[in-house]
Amino acid sequence: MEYFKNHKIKIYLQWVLLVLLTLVLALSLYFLVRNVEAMKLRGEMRISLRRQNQTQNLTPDQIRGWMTFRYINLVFHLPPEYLKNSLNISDARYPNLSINSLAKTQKTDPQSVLQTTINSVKSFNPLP
Amino acid sequence: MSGILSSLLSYVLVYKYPAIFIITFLGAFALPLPSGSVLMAASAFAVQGYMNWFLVLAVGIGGNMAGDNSGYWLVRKFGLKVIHKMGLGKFFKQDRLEYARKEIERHPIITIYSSRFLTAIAPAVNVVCGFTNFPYRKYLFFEALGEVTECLVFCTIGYIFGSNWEYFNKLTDQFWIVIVAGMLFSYMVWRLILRRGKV
Repeated sequence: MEYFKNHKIKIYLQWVLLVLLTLVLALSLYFLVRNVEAMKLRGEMRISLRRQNQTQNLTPDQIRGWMTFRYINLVFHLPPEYLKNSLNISDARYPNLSINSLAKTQKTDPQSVLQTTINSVKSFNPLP
Repeated sequence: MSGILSSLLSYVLVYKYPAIFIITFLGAFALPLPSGSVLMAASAFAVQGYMNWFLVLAVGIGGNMAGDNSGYWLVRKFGLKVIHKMGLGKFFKQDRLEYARKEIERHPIITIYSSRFLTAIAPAVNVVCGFTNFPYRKYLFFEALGEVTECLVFCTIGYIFGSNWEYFNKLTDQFWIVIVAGMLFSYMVWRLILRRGKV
């Protein structure tokens, strides 16, 4: 008798857990979808499997301090020496050097180095 | 983006695959590093032609598995000796360890496989498996399956989202709640409905 009583309670608890899990899943999905929609509206998300180059290309405003110059040169198709000359970089580690590391060695504000890099990339004009 | 993730990404851009291996290894071994986000970013770099996607995936799986197995074997070989030397042996009695081992053996999918997705819990599960002398082949099977799934998920997300991976990274926490809740939900449905049908 005791066994059946305990077994019944166990099954009951499992159903309660299932209902709770359903609620958690539904709420999580709801907030996830809502956040994705909000990001889409803000233009932060451009998911496209067909237009693959949209996800390949970065815009200059997406450049971050952790990015290295080698990576920036590759993604924006810049000549290897372009940023070195425009930013007057004398560090021997170039292009394997991040924007933040450059700011640290130059003892300047990382934000200003980042902004200068973004402007240099924006002003790059390949010769026809 | 957190300062630690920014620093790790700089290392990945400079040292490439060795950096991915070390980060995933340390993340799986004990340190709370965002190795999933690193894999996602590295896959995005691969889409942009900076790295090779398959190598990122392979190195990620290798690093994670090496970290997990190092934790398991270190604890299995030296764990109890160290505990006894520290005078904490009374908390690790044989019958309790045996009970823990049996419980893990009863639910390897929940304990070993699912914990791979929760980076804060996975090292603790490795330690418990090592302490309890959990059969290595069984541990390796579920651990490897979990790591392959986890790395595939992160690398595929990085591949699909490409340069927009950073925005997806903001949603990662909610994404994992959905996955874990979904997995638990499926398990409960199986336990309550499908398994009952069998009996």
